[in-house]
Amino acid sequence: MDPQQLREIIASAQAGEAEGFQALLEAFGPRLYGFFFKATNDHHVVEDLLGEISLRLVKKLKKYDHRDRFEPWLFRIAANMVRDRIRRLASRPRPVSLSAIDDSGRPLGDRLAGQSESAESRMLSVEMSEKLTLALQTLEETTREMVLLRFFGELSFKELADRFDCPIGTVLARVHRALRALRKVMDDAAVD
Amino acid sequence: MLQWTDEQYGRVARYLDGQPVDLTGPERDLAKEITDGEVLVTGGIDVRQLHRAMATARRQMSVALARPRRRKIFAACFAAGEVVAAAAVLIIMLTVRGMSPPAVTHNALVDAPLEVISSPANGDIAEQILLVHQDIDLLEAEICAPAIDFDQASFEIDELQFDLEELMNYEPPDFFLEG
Repeated sequence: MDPQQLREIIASAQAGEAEGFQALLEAFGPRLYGFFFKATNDHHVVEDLLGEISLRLVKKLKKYDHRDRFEPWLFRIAANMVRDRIRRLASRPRPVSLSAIDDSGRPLGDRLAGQSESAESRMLSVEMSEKLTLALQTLEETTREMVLLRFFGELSFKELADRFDCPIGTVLARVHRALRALRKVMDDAAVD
Repeated sequence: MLQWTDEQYGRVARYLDGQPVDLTGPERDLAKEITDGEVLVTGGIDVRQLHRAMATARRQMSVALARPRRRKIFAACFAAGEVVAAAAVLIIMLTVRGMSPPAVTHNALVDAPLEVISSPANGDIAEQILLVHQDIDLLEAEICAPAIDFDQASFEIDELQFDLEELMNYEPPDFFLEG
């Protein structure tokens, strides 16, 4: 979406027009979905988060200053939501029966690693993608956030440096190391 | 494997941000390596799950966008209800007054225009209706002016809630921190 078109959509949403908000959701929803999924690796949590951020957009957009770039503003909210969700999940693990059924009618137990009913039938690329997503979870939290904000939020390295209060070179160094770690996962998976 | 300095990383980062930086050969390779990383990170999204999540988000957003309209209608009904109730009380008072002896001429309707009060048709029902109308207008003005702005109040509560969450995310008080 070109900047002028984005400005018009934001202005329309800030004026309270439903079409403006819906256009923003259509434009950024898939990227937000990717960001949330790669950060949490749980489709159910992602669905929650995407719904929640669409509500926050309705409430908070009035505060957005059009002189700033929209993506960093939006993905800052998204990153805070992920951090908050991970903290809450870590501090309050919910007991759940593995025989309980999830939304798609599958027993939750099937979602455990190694127990997926369709694991054998999945394509190698899908398997690799899952491994990469899992590998992303193993990155240090700040590094993972930098990587996701860079590639899903399309933040510049300067914006990342400002956000994380560190030199621009340090940001790239961390992203570079993270990508190397991910490539190694991919190479190992190919050998297996 | 090359060992990169912070300065080199900085140069490549600025180049990737679109600044005019002359990169060396290896720095250009690093820039490409970073750019290619996008596929690595963003690939493999399950489109069916994405569509499902988007549909849910669309529904939730539609509901959220419809909420202020419902609040407005509620606020209008609330204000209208108060006016109607006040008018009913006033009519009852006037009816009672109409049945009592006309000894007292000075009452709550002193603010009504003089020509109406001094009209020869003072006892007429038409005049009373006119007075009631005027008082309804006055009451309406009094009630509506300081009435709570439900939209604003609701919005402010939401804002406070959000700000609190933000605060807890960024600077949670010590007693909330774990371990």
